[in-house]
Amino acid sequence: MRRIFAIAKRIITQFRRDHRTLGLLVVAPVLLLSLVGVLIRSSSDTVKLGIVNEDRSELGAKLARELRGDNSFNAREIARANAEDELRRGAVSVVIFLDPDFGRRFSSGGQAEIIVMIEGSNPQNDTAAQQKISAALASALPRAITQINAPGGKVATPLLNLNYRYFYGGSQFDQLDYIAPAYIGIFVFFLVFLLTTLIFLRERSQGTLERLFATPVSRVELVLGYMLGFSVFALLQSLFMLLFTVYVMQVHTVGNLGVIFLVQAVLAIGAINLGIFLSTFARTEFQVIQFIPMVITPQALLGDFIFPLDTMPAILQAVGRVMPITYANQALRAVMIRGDGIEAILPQLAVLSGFAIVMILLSAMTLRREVA
Amino acid sequence: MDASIQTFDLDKSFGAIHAVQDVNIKINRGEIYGLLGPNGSGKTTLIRMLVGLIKPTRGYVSMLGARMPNKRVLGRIGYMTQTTAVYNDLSVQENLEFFGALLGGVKKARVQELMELVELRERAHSLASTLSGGMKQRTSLACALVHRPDLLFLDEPTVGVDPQLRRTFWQYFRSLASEGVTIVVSSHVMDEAERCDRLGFIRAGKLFAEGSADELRARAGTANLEDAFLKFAMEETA
Repeated sequence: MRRIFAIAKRIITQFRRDHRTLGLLVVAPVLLLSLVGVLIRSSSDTVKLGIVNEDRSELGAKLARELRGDNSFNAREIARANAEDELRRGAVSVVIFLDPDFGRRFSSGGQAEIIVMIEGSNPQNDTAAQQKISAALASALPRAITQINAPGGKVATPLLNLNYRYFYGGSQFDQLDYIAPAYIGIFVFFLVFLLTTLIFLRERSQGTLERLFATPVSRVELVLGYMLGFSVFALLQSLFMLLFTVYVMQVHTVGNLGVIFLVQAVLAIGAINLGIFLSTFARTEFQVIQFIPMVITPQALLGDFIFPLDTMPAILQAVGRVMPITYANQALRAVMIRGDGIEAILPQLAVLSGFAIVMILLSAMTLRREVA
Repeated sequence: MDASIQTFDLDKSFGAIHAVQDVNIKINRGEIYGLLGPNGSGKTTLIRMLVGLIKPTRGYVSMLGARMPNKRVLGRIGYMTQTTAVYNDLSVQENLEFFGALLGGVKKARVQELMELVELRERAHSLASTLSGGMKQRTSLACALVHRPDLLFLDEPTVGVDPQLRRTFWQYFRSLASEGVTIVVSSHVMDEAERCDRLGFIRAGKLFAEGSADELRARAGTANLEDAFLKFAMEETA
């Protein structure tokens, strides 16, 4: 019994001295749960609706006004010519088209059709949007008709046919198609970061780093050498994951595999150097593991991965926008789901390259000759 | 003849700790210079300043006629750290080849020759992690010698080394010195000090006595070096 207590007491003493771990025991779960909580509770469910109203009769305008007044939508009228562009930019996530004949078909008792164009890259959002649209139209349309025909009078239930179309992907699109591109990015980032940190830590602790510094090797040469060596593995991993995702998991991909690979390569280079940089702040492997809830998890939550960035509260969006993963996810999704070419993701590539360069500089700066 | 290594008022503080105080040493080519002092006396800090790993707070080091840090001279330095700093997941030969490549390209024959020298030829392809402590130490020494350095810095090279291997090491050092290699070696073992050409006694960051083992003994009027060290140390404090 005394021996058991001796062991327990020793462990408590050791832990008490490790303030970082103690802090993490409390801070990490609270931080992460708060994040997840805020994300789940706050994700706004207003649908950004674009209305293309070309109806020659009064009905289209009335219906549009009804929808604009519905606060589960953020609705505005847009021109047909701009519809595609608005969808592509993410300014609207659903567009409904009211044809020139829309009102006339109704008044003549025929069947009217509304084309509902859904953005289509996030099946979860899309299903929700689809349900809202059909519910809203079912209640807004009779009200609009009533206003025109006989205020207060009885209205025949209109026969409305909603024709759903998808701008990207399609109804065969599932949640995996939305998540997979980002998943590839996060995984590459995570593993490359962790491996570099661990190996560099070993270089420090076994004394070989000190030995390297007593040779003519410069800091930049050291960082570049590490980068080159790790890139081989990072790129092999990226390639494997990409092929597995596309050919085994049958994830929908319309974009150029080369461009996807390029995004991953730039992301991986940033991760390698982040690893070298952060290895300065860890003395043991255990402390490296502690980087996971601080470095990786927030990026997975706020990096436009499962929770879409633009429905987050403003503060979290701001945090998300300084994370490299966000840009990688956006770029990968743009290429894989929307089939965008390299020119469309240049801003994201620029941010990722900037991140990589800053990390290279930071890691070179921390590699001072004074390694003690 | 110009000194191979010379320091000028070399001084280093880490915050409130004055690790090395105004050290002036001059070491000639082909000389084995021993830094003798207890643990924590500043030997390692001094050696690390010499090889350019840490910047002096004051003063400077001049080696092979150039003021340090100097990239050309760095390429002429062999440095063996206190811990056996070799890559555990590389083989003996791969470790040597790696340091050889960093130090300006070393021929295959040289790697073979070194493995012969440290008697690890038959373990060439063993991973360093599978070697005994002494074998690792020998690998580490071979790594420091791979580019035929002109200056060799050895920080307690024989800690944890069995007496037989220690003797072998000192045979290498002596033969290197006779080829013109300047060697600085730190130790707290007095019988090793006997093998150096010249000694510097160091304590609390101060170099307080210098000379050959015989000279130091004679000056102190003691029978052995240990007593000489203690006597000089007492005078210094007094």
